[in-house]
Amino acid sequence: MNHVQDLEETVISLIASGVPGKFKRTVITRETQLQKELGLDSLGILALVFRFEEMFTLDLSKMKIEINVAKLRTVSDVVKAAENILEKARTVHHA
Amino acid sequence: MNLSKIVEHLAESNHSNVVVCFENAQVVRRTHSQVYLDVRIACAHLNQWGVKPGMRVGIRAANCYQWLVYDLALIETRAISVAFTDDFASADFQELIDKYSLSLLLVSSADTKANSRNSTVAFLDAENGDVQAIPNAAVFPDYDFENPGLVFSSGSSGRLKGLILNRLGIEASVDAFTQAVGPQHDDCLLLFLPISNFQQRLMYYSAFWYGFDLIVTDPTHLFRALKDLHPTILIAPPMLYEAFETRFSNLPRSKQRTAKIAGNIIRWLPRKTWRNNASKLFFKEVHKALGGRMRCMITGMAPIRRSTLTLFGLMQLPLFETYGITEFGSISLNLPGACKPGSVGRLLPGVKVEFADDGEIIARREHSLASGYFECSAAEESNTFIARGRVATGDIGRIDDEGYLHLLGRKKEIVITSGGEKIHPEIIEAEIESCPEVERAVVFKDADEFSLAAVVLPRRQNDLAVRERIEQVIEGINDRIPSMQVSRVVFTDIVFSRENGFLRPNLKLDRKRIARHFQPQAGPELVPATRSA
Repeated sequence: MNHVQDLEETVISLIASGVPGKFKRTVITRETQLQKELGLDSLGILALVFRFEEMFTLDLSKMKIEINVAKLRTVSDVVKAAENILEKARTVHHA
Repeated sequence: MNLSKIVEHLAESNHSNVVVCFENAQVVRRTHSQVYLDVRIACAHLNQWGVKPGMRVGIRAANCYQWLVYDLALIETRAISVAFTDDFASADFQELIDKYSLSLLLVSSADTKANSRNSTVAFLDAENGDVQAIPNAAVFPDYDFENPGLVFSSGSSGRLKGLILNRLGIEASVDAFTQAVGPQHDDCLLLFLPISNFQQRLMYYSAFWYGFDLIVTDPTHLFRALKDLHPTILIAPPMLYEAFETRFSNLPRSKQRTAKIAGNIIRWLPRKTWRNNASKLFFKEVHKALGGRMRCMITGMAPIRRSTLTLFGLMQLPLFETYGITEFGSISLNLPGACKPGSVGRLLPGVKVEFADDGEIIARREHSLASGYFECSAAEESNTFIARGRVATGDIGRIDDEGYLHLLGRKKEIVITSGGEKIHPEIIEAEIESCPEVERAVVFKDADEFSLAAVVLPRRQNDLAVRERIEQVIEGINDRIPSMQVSRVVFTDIVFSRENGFLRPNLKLDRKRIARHFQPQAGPELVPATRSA
């Protein structure tokens, strides 16, 4: 398993912890839609982003990263955003 | 409070309180004295740009410190603020200036239309070149500063309504809320909903007048602000608190059971400090996520799930329901020591209610928050603003023997059967939703005019046994209440949200839209509830 798969699993597990009860049985894949299939509204997605920051000890505003919640529609969007954030964090760290 | 003197008061009061904001990834704290100085600078700018008393000045910007500063500066200048909500985000500057007879428009430098700025548009948060307010003959002077602003509110119809603010009503609302909640100088209120929503502005007027700390942020920084800035008072829609409940219900069942047992034991500890400390220890994660100092959490705008209130009570996190409408201001509030779950609390000081023949709540106070509508028919205005200080809320309710106000439903959502029976769909919906396997239910008059249809979202999808049990519950309701016959049930897996349009911006159900959507599945025709009057 490579770190990309690890990250995907981490993101899916973070998403799963915020999914309302009635969607608990939804099988989460990269294509799953956050709002329609997992019932995550804009506040739910913001909470997810914050839990991600906490997990990786990041502060997106300090990294000058703006998250547009409206653009995070699928699990894949979140995974890609997470990859970009961590990539930027690594760049900043090495700079 | 005296709104006309709020800036003067800020200078004289010597409060050591602060306003905290996130700016350029930093937490910035400014004392009330600094706020006063910044307001003075803003007043000088307004003066230099030619803003005079009675001129209308628009503000279109996301939450930021300068929003507060210019709001106070406009009050000090006796100019009329026009606060544009997100609904106006795509409007051109000139369109707003022309339509609302503005002399000046204040915007954020990050505004997407900033490049099309002209001399009647100024930046709140950046250097300005040539700015010149234009006198506007269409606006009448308001020498007593009776109406300090215009605001917009999305009513239950989903249509944006323009409201003329009433200074005396603002002062009465701030005083009533402050008297009820009793914020102390060491309290800290977190505001994250748009300041263009007038309720938020009332809160900071209270902070500046009575002296307590304020955190102003936008939803993006909400969770960081909660955790890192340790607020003690939070006002938020139910969905925020329900998100915490969702995380709790996603814990393994054994953990949930243990937490409930522990919460119930903690509840019986004899001293409040013991209960608080034990709760902070056992429900560490939640208390930490809320900053660890939370004293009072308030929710309104839409009904909150009873289970969410229960969970927060279990964790010794005080969460209270409130009720109010922008036309009138806050009407009632549950509070520590005066709280009844299921009600929206006792009436705030100075507020009285009476009930129309159909049960509609008529709120009374010497002055209501708004004195009328603009951009609205005279008939609609007179239906709501019945007389000075008397506002028809459009909600049906009752007061119990202990003085707690209960909301039963919206007046215009009453279903009248062909037999003339008036039925509040919310009452039947609450009955159906009392079944633990139902997430949400919406009830309509069926096309046959004799019976009702229900759209039901079960907690577990595609489970026939669950559906059968829900149908049995509904049959039980039909047996118990013969006047309310739900003869058709439509099961759905669609969650009602603002995003799919089934909830209005104010988080209330858009019944017409839901009825339209589910019509084909429901058979002949679903008729949304009609106005009873």
